[in-house]
Amino acid sequence: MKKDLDHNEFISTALFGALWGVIEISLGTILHASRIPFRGTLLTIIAVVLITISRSFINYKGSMTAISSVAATLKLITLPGFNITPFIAIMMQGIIAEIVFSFFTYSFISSLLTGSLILLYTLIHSLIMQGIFFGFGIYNVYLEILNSIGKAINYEGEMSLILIPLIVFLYIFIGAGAGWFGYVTSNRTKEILQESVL
Amino acid sequence: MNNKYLVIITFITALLIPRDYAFYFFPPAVLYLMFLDIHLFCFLRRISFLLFVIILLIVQPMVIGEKDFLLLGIKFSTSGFYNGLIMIFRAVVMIPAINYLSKTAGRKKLQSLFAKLGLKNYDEILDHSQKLFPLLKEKTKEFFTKAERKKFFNPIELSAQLLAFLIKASHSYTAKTKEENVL
Repeated sequence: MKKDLDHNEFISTALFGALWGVIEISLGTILHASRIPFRGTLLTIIAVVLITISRSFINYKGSMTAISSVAATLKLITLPGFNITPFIAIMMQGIIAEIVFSFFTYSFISSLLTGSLILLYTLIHSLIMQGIFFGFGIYNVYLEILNSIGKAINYEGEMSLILIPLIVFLYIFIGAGAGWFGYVTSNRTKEILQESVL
Repeated sequence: MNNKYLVIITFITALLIPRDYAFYFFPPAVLYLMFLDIHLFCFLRRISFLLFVIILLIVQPMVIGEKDFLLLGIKFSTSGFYNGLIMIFRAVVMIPAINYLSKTAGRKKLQSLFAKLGLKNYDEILDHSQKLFPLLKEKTKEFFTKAERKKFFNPIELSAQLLAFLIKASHSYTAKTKEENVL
């Protein structure tokens, strides 16, 4: 039988779920309207920060899945139109965080790892979705385009062998940065809350 | 048959159909989805989709396949163009189909899904989160008018102050609503 959450866990889960939902809906709408590239990556960076912060406040098993399910549901039911891919992405981010934080205790290193894996997933997510919608032949198109660019600039080898690891490394690095930011911010938030209690 | 099941069949067929039969399947599938709801095709005007059209119909024939067609002095591959056309058609069927199916996902269905997954107090948390929405907006505005006076230049300090402010506000709001309910 599943055990009910205590009062603090309940409020914190609702708060972080709502906060993530508000960011996804408001900032997501602004970014969507602005049509700037890498909108999903920007939202994921903020999600990583929020996930690493929330884990320091809500430490029960399933907490990350709970806040991601709240944020994903809010996004799906609030906004009209094509929202199933963000729904899947948000859920997956929560599941990745849940897996990492169940294997490792909440720490600086696990925050970096969570951030890196979530950002890496974002990169893979868009590729998977493009593969499903356009067909998996689209990967071949990308590789050929990258290699053609290499040939155009007189590069002898295959350009994709340099660019793909570079992009992957960049995503891992940015994810780790977001994880670090979240970890440091959560510590500082706790200090502020303790100071206000005293 | 219910439209929902027909859309599911259309989606699965578009996903699995071999290339040789694709041109016979996609036009009627597009027509069916258009009759179902024309608004499902709003994504065709999106820049991101048009970028894919350019990549698949213009760039792809220039880089993939045997170049057997000359247009404006540029060599193109007809097989690459044909391939790109099928890919675009596939997306034009799959995106509206999944969009239609996502519209049928109501809150009740999600609740039962998450209940099956064993998420603790999902319904209550979602209800409380929705109640916190206006509070979060109001308190964030309030914080930034206050923070402007304090001038937090450090992003960590700014985020931590904002979070601490929101945590305190949400806890006091919950306590207040609980008290009102009791009274």
